[in-house]
Amino acid sequence: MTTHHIQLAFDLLEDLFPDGTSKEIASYLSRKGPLPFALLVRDLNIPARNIARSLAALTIHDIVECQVEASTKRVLYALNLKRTLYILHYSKCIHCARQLYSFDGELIIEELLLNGKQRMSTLLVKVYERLIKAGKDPETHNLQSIKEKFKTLVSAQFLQRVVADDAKPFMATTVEETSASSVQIPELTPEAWKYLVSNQQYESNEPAQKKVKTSMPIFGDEKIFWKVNFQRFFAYLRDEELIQAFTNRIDQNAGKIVRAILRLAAVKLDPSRTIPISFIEIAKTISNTGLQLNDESLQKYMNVITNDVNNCIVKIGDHGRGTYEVDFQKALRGLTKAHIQSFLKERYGSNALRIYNMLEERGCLSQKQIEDMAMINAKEAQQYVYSMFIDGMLTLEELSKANDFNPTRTFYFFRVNLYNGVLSLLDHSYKTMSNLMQRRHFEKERHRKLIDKRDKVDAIIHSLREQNADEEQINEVDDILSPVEKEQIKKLDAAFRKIDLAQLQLTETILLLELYLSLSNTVAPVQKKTGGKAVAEKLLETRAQR
Amino acid sequence: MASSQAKSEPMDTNSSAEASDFDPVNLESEILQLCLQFPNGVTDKILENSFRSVTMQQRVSALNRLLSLNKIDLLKSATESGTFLYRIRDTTGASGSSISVGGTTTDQMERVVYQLVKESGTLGIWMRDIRTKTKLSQTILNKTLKSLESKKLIKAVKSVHASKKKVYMLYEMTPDPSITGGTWYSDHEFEAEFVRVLNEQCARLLDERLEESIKKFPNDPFLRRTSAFMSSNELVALINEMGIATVSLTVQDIESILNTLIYDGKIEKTTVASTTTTAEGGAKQHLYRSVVAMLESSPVVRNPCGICPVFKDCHDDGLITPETCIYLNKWLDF
Repeated sequence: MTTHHIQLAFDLLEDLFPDGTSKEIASYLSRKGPLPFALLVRDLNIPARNIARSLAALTIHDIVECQVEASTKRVLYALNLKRTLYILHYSKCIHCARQLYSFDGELIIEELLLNGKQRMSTLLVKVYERLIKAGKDPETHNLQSIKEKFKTLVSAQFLQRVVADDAKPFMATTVEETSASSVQIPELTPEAWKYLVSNQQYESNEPAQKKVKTSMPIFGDEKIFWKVNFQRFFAYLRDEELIQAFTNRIDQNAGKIVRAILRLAAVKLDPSRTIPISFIEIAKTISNTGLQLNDESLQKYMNVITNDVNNCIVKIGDHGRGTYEVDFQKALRGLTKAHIQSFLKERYGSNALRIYNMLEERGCLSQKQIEDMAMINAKEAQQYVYSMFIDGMLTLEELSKANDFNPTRTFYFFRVNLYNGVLSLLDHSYKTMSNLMQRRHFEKERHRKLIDKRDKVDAIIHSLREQNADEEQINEVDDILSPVEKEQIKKLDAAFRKIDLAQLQLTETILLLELYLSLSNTVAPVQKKTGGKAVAEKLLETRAQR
Repeated sequence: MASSQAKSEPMDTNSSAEASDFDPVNLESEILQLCLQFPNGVTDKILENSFRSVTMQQRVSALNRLLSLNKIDLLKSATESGTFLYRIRDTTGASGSSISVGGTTTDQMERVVYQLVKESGTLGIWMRDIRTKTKLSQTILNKTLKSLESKKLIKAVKSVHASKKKVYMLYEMTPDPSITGGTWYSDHEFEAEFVRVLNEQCARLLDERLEESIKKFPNDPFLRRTSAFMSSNELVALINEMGIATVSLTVQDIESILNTLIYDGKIEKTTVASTTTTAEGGAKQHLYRSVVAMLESSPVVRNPCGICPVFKDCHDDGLITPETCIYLNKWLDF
């Protein structure tokens, strides 16, 4: 919970809820802890109604949680920082849904992400309306097909059911769907269905007429809400990264085989390992996907795969012609190590990477030993080691020969600490993300006039095209923007695209690092209070001065 | 000398008559032979017992002559304090004879120092160690060392690890690799360039082998993997053939270079039991293979913030902010 972590959360909230209220409430809650509504009203200079509205929105998104204080039975509102950071991954989730479930699926997920929790009926209606507006054919994308997509999403556990418990009227409990209980899609009552269908026809036939206000029928799913299951999406994204790693290391076919294995292993008993999967199942799935591999070559591939990426796919038995398991802890560890190594290589140089890997393999080494083994200049080696130490990738251990820690008579050993390294890299990524968001905001403000002008021109051209106006008129409108401005707009667009792309790729890293931290069993090692860091910083300072 | 003279005085008067029919040269050779029998040293007592017929004075004068001829050494006994040991001196080296010319006390010290330096062999001995062993003062020791150096008997070798430290060893000896640093040091300096060139060459050889194996077996990953391996012996042979290094490199040297490549993340290593019976085979062999990285570059470093040198000073409202950052400006092309 570093400053950057919290700062990023606030930036994200500001992005999603552009009026400043949500950000203020969030910052106040994060500073003071869980608070009741009355205190919020008293301390913040915002009218109570606005606070109430913001709180309602935030709660529906699960960003703010309701707790009941045991002693006084008051309702307290607490900020859920982790959930706030999930906002980062929204775009990726929508993209996943698009890839797996096409346009309908994408819209369902998008609606749910924007609204937090929704009933299925409202969801269906909304998605349908959006499809029609986007110009899709109402025959292929009718309510029935949307409902089917919804069903598939639920069965793949991408959506979770939320039930309003009568006992606790203001708290929603998420229903944990285990594989045993079948997921129940609420069946809409027949009259509700008729209403919807008639509405649909009504819409398509007479769009201009005013809608007659008929009484809304009972849909049958009043109490059942749905929300997005983030963990499932994260698991999917993690699988994608793993497949990419295997494709890079071996080849395309290996990637496909790993994808098949991971798909078979979708049901997990234990979050860190999958159920054992036999060779025969893999072979069957492979032939289903159309990849032509006979059993022999599949055996060979499995042989090579088990030796790669930190040995994360393990052979645990021979029944079924070989039983394999995926160990996610190892997989994540291998992937995070790759990220850290790339970071060190680019930031400090390939020699620093060499030192890091050496230390990792050998446990602990003293400064002198590092210089000898790495075959690097002594001065350079010292610089690299101390820079990495300041950044938190290495830790220092003091072993004294005598009873007092006399510097001439103590050994100083450097060690690699993956946990600290990951924390440090994660913090770095958070800050980078904040920086990028800040810059984007700033650029938008700076060029606001230009952007507004461009938007207006685009709107006019669009309306002209709809009315089938002359090409000349369109060109006239186009000329409102001078060539210089056009150039600027082009550059601006390119810049925004770059920032967006960088942000998107950064979320990959952040996701991976967070998953690693949540899955690893290590506790942060206790650091002895030595003046080591101060000494190291001073040393680098004097070197720089020289 | 003084004590033996003091001893001889009372004997002087009564044994002079017997000395006339005694052969002093014979005595010397007999003493020498006795010393040869006991290469660790002959005590005074043993001499007394072996040559009962000889007076102390005769014995003493024989011993003195032998000492001045540098045939034996006079040592103080460690076990019994106060007694002296006479040890045969090894005068087989030609250098021994050159020192024996002259007979001053500095010469004696030179001999002692020379002996110490010789004993240290190829590792050499540090000046401070000589001082502790001989208990000579700094200035005298310096003079001794200088004169020995001018006579080209010993030389000073600078250690590569501690540049201030000098060790002394015999002139003809080649210094031990631990002092000069071995193959990677020339003139007491680490040859980073040489190491780097070797590094690149090895990486290139392994990469070529990997490409070959990909071309040969496009469909079989297992064979692709096994054929991409090269053993360290092979690599040594290839590198020596290419003639990059002026000296021929050993398997140890190449393995240390390959280790650095492993730490660079470019290759990986496996160990197998050796199937060949070549002289260098041994019980196990190391095989190396070039690998492709898991991740070509982390997204963290794809934007300027990842490699920004002033990242820690960048704040919302400081001198360095994302809004005016020059690196971001360049990156976004503004």
